[in-house]
Amino acid sequence: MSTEAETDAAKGAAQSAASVAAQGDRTAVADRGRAPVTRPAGRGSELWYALAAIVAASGLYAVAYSQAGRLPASSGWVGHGIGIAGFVLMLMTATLYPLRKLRTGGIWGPTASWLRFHMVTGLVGPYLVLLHTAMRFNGLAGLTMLLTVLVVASGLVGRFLYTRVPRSPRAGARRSTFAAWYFIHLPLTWALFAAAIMHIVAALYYATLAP
Amino acid sequence: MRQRPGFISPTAIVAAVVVFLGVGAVMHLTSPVIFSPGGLNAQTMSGLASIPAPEATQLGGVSSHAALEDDCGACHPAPWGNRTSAAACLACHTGVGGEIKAKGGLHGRLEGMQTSPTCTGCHPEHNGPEGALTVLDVAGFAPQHDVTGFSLKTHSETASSGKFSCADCHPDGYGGAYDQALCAGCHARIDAAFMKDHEAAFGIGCLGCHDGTGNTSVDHDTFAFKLTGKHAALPCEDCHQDTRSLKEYQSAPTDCYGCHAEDDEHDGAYGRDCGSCHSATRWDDVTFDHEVFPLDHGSEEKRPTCETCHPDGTDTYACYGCHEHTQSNVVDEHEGRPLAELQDCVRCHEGGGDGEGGD
Repeated sequence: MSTEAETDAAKGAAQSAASVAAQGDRTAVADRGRAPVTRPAGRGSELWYALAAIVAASGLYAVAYSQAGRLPASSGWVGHGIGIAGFVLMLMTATLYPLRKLRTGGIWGPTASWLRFHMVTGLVGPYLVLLHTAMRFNGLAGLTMLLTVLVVASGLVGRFLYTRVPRSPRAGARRSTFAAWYFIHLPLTWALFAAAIMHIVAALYYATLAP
Repeated sequence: MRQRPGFISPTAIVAAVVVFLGVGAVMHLTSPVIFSPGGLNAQTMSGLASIPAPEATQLGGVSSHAALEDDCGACHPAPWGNRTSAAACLACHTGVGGEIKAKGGLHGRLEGMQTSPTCTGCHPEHNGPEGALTVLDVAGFAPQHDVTGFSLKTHSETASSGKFSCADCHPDGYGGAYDQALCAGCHARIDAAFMKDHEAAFGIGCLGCHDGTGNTSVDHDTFAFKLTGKHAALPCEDCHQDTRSLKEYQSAPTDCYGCHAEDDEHDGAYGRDCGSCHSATRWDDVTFDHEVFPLDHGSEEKRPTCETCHPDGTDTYACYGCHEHTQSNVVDEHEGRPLAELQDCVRCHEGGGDGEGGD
């Protein structure tokens, strides 16, 4: 074994050991002479959390719908509340995990866990925003929803890629795949937040703060 | 130097700037309609039969809200200004403004309209060209309808057990006076024969008597029997029991005894014309003054009637009508006096007892 591979193996082993300790990884696969390949641990349990939150939100929304007799208007009390909640979740999605990646040290928790959190908020937040639209997609609001859908879709693609592309010393292929994907996901997110901020300002002017 | 965070990239910043500028450009080149959540209502007045010359009618210079699509400021004043949204509506809808100012009509009498009027609670917009301009749940609105003078209490369900909608009684909108011919149209379907008689008897001004609560308010002063005193506060059924037709209403008893036979504490002793002594305000408000002699004279089992002491009218009286006071008994008691002197008994016997009085 070369020194580089040794170092890689050591790093990989340490990392996978940490992952196992932190997340109960079942899918570690030993590769002959190579560092164990790891997958996002928990077998996608974050998706179940997201689904549970979505079901709960849908239940509350159904109550509001039956009381109003129609879809709660985006500019009403329920509509405002859902919109704000959804936006806060999306803000957390776009900031917490990326900021965590800038930090080192264990006190912030495993980055992988933050990624899972990123995925949960990144699904629940957009779902709340979809409820907030009351199925109306006019003008800038519609553009914002479209960008939201695109960002979520790109995120799901990224998750798919993350599980399919093995983390191996063939780092070059993996890095370019992710770089290509990130090249889509990141600018879309920035575009989304630009549209969302303008939508919020307009909504404040025309609806929330209307005299 | 610290590495640039991965989530700040030139492409990302460019994407955000492109979106900002793009939206700004669209807004500048067209109108703020990019911020609109839906099309504006395109209905004109020509759908309303109650408006004279509907085609020509414009409010605020436009025939419909949709004509204002590019002029957001017409309805949306700036939050930092001192013009309210309601003021924006009333700037064109001057009729409603007049109602509010006069505290009349529907809008002038709705709760809260005098202090802080709002329009959008009942009148949403941005629901497309065909969107409803008035959205009201009749059941929820029913208490507010009382201000018009007509309660919706008895109109919660239609004859076919459906729910009432506003348009069932207001097919032509809500401006102007309500068309009472609509009442007969529905109620004739429920009971044609009754309505025929009813209209013949009372005419077609339904609202003159009916206020929707199920009770009927009638100007009883136009009838022979005036509702004086406590009579005025009674529900109709107390005197007009089980009546449906005009004839039955008119045949309600008009004499006191027709309703008050059980109330007669005198057991008919003082006749049946209760009104000659009693007022309709209170039973004990008796105008009859008989201070000159107690009325509870005699035994409890056999009270004297008016006729007992006044056989020839109330200008004269005689005590000899009772067994106790036969002429021979009286003469015996009053030794030595001739009967002629024993005619004005009360002069000595004021309290009705065995008074010894001189003359």
